[in-house]
Order: sequence, then structure tokens, then C-alpha cells
Amino acid sequence: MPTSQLALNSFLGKPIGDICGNHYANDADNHCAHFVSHIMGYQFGVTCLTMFRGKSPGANIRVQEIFPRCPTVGTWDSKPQDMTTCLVFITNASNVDLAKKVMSNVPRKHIGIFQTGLIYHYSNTQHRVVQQTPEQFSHHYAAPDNAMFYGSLP
Amino acid sequence: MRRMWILASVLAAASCGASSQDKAGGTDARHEVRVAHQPPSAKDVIDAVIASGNVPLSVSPTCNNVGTEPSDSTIGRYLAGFMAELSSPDKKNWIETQVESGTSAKGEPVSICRLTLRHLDGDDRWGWGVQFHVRKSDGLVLADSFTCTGAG
Repeated sequence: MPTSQLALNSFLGKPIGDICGNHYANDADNHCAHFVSHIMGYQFGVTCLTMFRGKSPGANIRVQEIFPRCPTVGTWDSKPQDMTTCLVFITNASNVDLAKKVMSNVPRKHIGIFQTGLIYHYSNTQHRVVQQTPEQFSHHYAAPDNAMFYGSLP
Repeated sequence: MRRMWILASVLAAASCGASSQDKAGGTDARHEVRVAHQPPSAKDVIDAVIASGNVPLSVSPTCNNVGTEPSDSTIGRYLAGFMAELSSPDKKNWIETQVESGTSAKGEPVSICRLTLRHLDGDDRWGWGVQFHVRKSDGLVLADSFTCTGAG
């Protein structure tokens, strides 16, 4: 898993078509979980290979399937200080049941990789990988759909 | 306005189109759906999905937790959750259909049909829907062929 900042930086600016070897890269689709899964090697659940014929390893494409795979989850404010690498989720808080570790499949939900103070995620508007501070990321959706959560790496 | 159009489409398709019948005879209450044309038209695909609304989400692992609410248990309820998100008149929404030839798990020639509800509003961008098979020999929608499509 290339989770070092240097490795993550190498993906900055890339469109999903340069990352997914299976060519699941329609700009009308949402690729936030798809990007994270290719980088982290998450091959469980529904993958780009499920959706599209290809020959490369598949990567999960659904935020709500990744969330429960995180060993620990919590609100962003409760993230342990010494956790410098983790997943970050943003959605309406009402879509998340932390006790049951369930996230509903609502339209406005997003995921990124937090690494040493920065969040790497796929901008579906810009069609490329971008890097933001947590504060910038918190504006990804307008309130009330911008509650942030952390998840330790599956 | 767009919402009204979608609603009108749903009602129109439900009232006249794919034939569906509950198989009579004792305890067999299977609900068979057949398309009106071969290969299925876009209208036929939408009609078939509406008529298959009672197909349980347990039909495929791809449908696990796809509903916008944890209690959603059918294809109809799953799609209704996303259709309800198409309510803003100043956002871009559309229905996408695709049909291609293929083979069923049993080796029968089928039309592979896909319906996708799409929404585009900046990073609020998604396409959720279903894929299913229509048997070419008689136009039967194969209820156990449903899978749930979409990412995000």
C-alpha cells in the first residue's frame, strides 16, 4: 500500500483512467472510493471489475462498503492524535451509525486518504486526484452533509 | 419540472407496457415480467424495472446495503431512494439505458439491460441503477439476474 506522502503525491493530478487498469473511468460516475481502493489495494465487495470487463485487479468502488471494514471509526474530532494515516469520510451525520459501524448509501458521501496532515482524494468535478487540508475538505459538501469521520486503515 | 417528467414517465410506463402476471396455481406466486419488444427499447427497459420493483435486494451481493435507508429491501425501494434525490429543478439529472446481447448463466441468449439514474451537481455526482437479463426466446425478464450498479 503506497500510503507514504511521497507515494501519494505521485498520484496528484491524475485522472482515474490513469489509475484504473480496468478502464472503469466514465466521468459521469463517482470515483472517490474507486481511487482510494486502487491506492490501498481494497479488492473486497463490488469492484471496478464487477462493473466493467478488465484484466487488472479490481478495486472496491463503494464508500459504504469500505466504512465498516475499518477496524475503528469515529468522528473526525475524536481521531487519536497519533493516528497520522487513516481514511476520512464526509457525509451527513444522520447517515452514519458509529455503534453499528454502518454508513447508508446516500448520494452525498465522500472518502479520502489522510496522511500527515493532508487529505488525498478524487475530485469528481476536476476529474483528478487532489490534495487538501482537513479544513478545505470539510467544505466538500455544504452543511449539513459535511460531518467528517475517520476510519483506521482496513 | 424534471421531477414531474420523471414521475410522468414512471406512471405512463407502469400503466401500459411490459406484461406482468402473477403465476396462478396454488402457492406459486412468482411474478413474471416480459418486455414488449425485442431487443428491448429504452422504454421497455424502464418498464421492466418498474414491473420488477418487488425483486428483493438479496438477489445479488452487489445489492448489499445499496438502499438510501438501511430498511430498503427491494429493487423498487432502492431506486425510489435515488429518484427522490432528483427533485431540484436546477440540477442535471437523466436516465440512462443500455442494451447489449449476451448469454445468461444457463447459456441462454439474452439481452443484457442496464438502467442508471444519473445526477450531476459538482462533486455530488452519481449513477446508481440495475442490470438484468431479458431472455431472447420469449422476452422474459430473468428476475434472478438483477444486479445493482453504481459507485461512490
